[in-house]
Amino acid sequence: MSETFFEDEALGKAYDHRLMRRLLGYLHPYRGRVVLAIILLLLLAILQIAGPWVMARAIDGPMKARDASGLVPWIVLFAAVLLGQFAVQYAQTIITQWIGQKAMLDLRDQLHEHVLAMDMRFFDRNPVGRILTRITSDVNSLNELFASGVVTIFGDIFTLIGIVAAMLYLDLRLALVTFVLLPLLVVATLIFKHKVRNSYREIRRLVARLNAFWQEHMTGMAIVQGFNRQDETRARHEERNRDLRTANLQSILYYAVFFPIVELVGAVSLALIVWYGGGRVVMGAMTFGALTAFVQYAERFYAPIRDLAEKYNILQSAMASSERIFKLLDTQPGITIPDITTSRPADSSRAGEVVFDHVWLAYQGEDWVLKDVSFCVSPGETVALVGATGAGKTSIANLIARLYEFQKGSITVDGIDVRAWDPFILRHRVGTVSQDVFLFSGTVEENIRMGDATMSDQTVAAAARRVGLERLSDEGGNGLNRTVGERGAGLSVGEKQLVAFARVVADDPAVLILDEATSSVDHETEARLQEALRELFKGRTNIVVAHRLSTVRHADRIIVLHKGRVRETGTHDELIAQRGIYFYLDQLQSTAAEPGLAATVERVAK
Amino acid sequence: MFKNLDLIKPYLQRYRRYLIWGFWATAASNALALMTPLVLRSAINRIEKSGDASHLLIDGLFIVGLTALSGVFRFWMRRTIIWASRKIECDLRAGLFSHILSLDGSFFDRTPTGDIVTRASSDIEQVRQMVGPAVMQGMNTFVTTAVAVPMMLILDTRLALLILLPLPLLAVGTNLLGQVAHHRFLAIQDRFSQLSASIQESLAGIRVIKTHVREQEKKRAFRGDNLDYFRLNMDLIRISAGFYPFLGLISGSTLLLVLYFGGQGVIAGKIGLGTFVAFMLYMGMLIWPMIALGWIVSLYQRGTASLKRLAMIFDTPPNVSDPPSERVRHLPPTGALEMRHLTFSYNGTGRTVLNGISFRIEPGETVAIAGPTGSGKSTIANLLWRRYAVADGTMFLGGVDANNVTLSEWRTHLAMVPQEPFLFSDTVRANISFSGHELDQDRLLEVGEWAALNKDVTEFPHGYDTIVGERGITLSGGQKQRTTIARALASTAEILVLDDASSAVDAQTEEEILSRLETLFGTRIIVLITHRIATLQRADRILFLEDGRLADSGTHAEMVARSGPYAHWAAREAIKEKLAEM
Repeated sequence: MSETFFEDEALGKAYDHRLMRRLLGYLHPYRGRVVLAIILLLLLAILQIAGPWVMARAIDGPMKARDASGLVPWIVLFAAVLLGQFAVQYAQTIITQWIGQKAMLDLRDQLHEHVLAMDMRFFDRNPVGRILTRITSDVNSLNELFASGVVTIFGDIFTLIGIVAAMLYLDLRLALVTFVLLPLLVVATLIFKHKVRNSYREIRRLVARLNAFWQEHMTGMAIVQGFNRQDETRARHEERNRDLRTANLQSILYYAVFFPIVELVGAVSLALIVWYGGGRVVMGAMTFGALTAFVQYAERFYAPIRDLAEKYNILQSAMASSERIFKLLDTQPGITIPDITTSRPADSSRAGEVVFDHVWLAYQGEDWVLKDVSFCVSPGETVALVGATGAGKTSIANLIARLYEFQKGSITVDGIDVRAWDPFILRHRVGTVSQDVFLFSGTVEENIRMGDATMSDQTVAAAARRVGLERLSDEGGNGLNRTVGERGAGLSVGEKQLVAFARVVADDPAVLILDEATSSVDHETEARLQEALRELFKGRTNIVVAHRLSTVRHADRIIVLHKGRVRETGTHDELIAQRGIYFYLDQLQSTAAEPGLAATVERVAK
Repeated sequence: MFKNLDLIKPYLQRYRRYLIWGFWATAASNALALMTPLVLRSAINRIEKSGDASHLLIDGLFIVGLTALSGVFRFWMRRTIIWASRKIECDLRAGLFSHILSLDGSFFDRTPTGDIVTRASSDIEQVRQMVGPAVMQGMNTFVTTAVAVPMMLILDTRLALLILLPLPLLAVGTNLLGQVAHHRFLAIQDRFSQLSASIQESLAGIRVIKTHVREQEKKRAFRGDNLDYFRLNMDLIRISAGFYPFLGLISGSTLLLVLYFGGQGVIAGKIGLGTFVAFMLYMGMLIWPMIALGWIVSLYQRGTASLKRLAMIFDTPPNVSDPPSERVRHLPPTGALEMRHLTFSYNGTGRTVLNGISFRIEPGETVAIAGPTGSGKSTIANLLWRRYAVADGTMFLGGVDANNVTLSEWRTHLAMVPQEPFLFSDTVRANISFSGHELDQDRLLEVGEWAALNKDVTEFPHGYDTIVGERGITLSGGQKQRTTIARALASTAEILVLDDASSAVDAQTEEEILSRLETLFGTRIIVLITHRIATLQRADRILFLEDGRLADSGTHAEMVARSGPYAHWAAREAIKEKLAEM
């Protein structure tokens, strides 16, 4: 129940013509079935009128003539009408619902595809829950519109026309007398719907307010209790609770008044039929059968009127969801794909080279995360990026794979500007291992393959073997078929890392960006990971966001980032000798920082 | 079967008069409505026999009169039964809220907020549907059946039996269809959560999908799940689409029976045409109550399931509560804050979070608590606030055991600034005066000054009357923290606990706030949870925690000189600070 309880979301949107047109577009592929459903609705209306008709003829014919055997054909006909009604209504409902479900299926597919194409900034700004709500709940709330709202309007209209026509045909005068009440019924219904809609809105608002109050006070319960505010809070809750009750009690009155009024209108029309129609029967101007048919038609008059009044509510309630859905669909990814894209390096000598040239990056406004960053990683070189949290290391990794757009400078991979690459091909060239390894629920094998059906079993197995994953997996039983729970549950931290490594080996990119995990592992696992790393680094350019000294030592060169700038570059020994930022970072890492500890604290604290 | 109803018995009892009147209104309204077919019958019979039209107007007026009177009672039926259900809903929610107000931290730790809100909204609504609409429909069905069936039997016993016998089939059929549909519905819900989970997983793992270029594969996988979901929906639709057609078929069949048997009766001269028409009308009136029967049963089932979920909250006892009156002691105006061999673990985890903690803080002292993440610092703050229960004889204020003091008295002696700066979506003023002490403008500005908040607030659109949070402006982390500090300072408690309360406040501002507090507080106690070296240095004493134990204590200088666990930890913190400055 992660629904949002914001008050404005609870209120319906006004009917919007353009939104509705766009929504109806989703029914377009199924227009053949829509037409079929409408034809069935027409048939249904005819059958519904046929029932009382048959009965009337039976009363006027064999029953009046006291002809027992003559009754049988009418009984059979009546049964046939019933069965026909059943079959047509059933078929029509299934077709209409099928259309609705299909439209929602398409919409969900479209939304999912659209979301997958969005850039990472989109995902930073939109919580998973919100996107999920668009694809699932918001689409589902269009069900009523798609499945019954649009098509069945025709059904109500057909039924109404059919009943009017039948009554006029049976007895013109009695029909006109009965119709006198029609405006009354329509007006009463419209007034009621209007009242109920307003009161329903008010109730929705109060419910949202009360829910928001609960949400907030359950979260802040520690504060309420800690400051002894239970009594005041209870009183404030009671105020909101009672406001809702008052609004609810008010709406009961509308229903309590309206339903008896509809019944009364029905009774008046029945009385008119009895009085005026009865008189005409006595006069011989009308038959008994016609009279009973009239009684039945009059009873069926109200349902389509009520349904038609309901349709506006359905349309309106679909507005809020559809507006949110279309807003998402209209959001364009922030990274644009160039018209002319590059797919292979122009200069093979630069294959595997990564160059940052005065790169500036801000995720928001002028909040620079990377400031004038420049460095060059030669093909085949292994470089470690080192720095405290928030120094900008991960941002560098993000930019090489072009997960984000940057503002100034340029970045080249294989000597070609990343903005000239087709991002999909670029990401095949540049492999990434994120800091927190994400595993999908499934098996280890599926997690290495990640849905690529063209990847051979041998490739997967070889990748697992090379990083030493097979050994670990076998210890857990089932080898590569070991089940992985949600978010990698059931695998140790080390194993998860190895799976991520195996993914890279299987994809075999020319450039690897490794954002090392910070979580600490035991010595044995550490040794295995380092062994796997050596294997992983073979034959490619490696840029490692390193958190462990042992990993840093693998590097040919170390780049120290601090507050978004490149501050130091060199080998471990060179940088230690500088006694700069790297020196302190190293101190933090090493457990052997004891000598002169007190001195360090004093010196730093001063 | 009715055990679950215990919870709402007192509420039903409270509104018993409404329900009783509701029953009589239902009975009267239905009895009157069921007279109409009889009027029609006599009118038709008269026409048929004598061809006399003179009485028809009176018959018509009679029908209108009966319906009008029945309508008045129908109005009262809703006005009493549904009315009562809304009142019960309101009372039940108030009762739930009251109970939750008395529960301790362990309840909130194990119950997600969304869960509690769902119970307060949907589950209470389900219960209301059970005591309101279901009861009303139940009475309706009962009265209609109890009146119409005997009437039909009196009119013509044989015909009544012939056409009434299949009627229970309607209730059974509705119920069966409902059950099958419910099972398929559960399967859909199941698949729906799977579909949601799969989208959620894709979104959470979007980075991996993008960097490994697996968008197409995910798309295919999703399409498969989506199609499965569609198919299950169609499975349900194949059943549910039959519902109304089935009802139409059954109710039509009863008319068929009337037409066949009644028609034969008319032809044989056994019954009049009027009786024949009356039967048709009665059948029309009986069908809906029969269908409603299946619906009532399902409302009852859902209502009791919801009651069960509500009972789970109502049955949760508060673990931290006031002592029995004979044990109640009062706190002295000032006194030392003490913990003695306090050991604590959160319910259900079994992991010992605090192990044999002992300390004593004298009035006027400023004591800092430091230690690595997970060492138990915040747990101490939570216990001081009595968010969780402590054992007897482990926590004292002025020599009085915490468990012998009422919660409200204990908490007035303690002002807390929690780690998470939680503010209500209300004005800044209301948030600061949350402790209930009336603040005039001067006092408000004074407290604001202490918390270094005034300057920020003057830039807010409505100053201290600006609403913060969802419906108002968004405060920065530092502003939030300083507001919570002001809130704590507005109370006059003699112990102030700051749980990492200035992590988002810059070092200089923190320095300002603390130095002001120390001069202000004089004989009061300040407990600071922090990892800032400068702050630690100004504390009179530091309690250093590691893995839930008191690993070291003393002043900063003492412990650094000792090169013990604190010195190790502080060195690393100092380097981090140094790096932050570079």
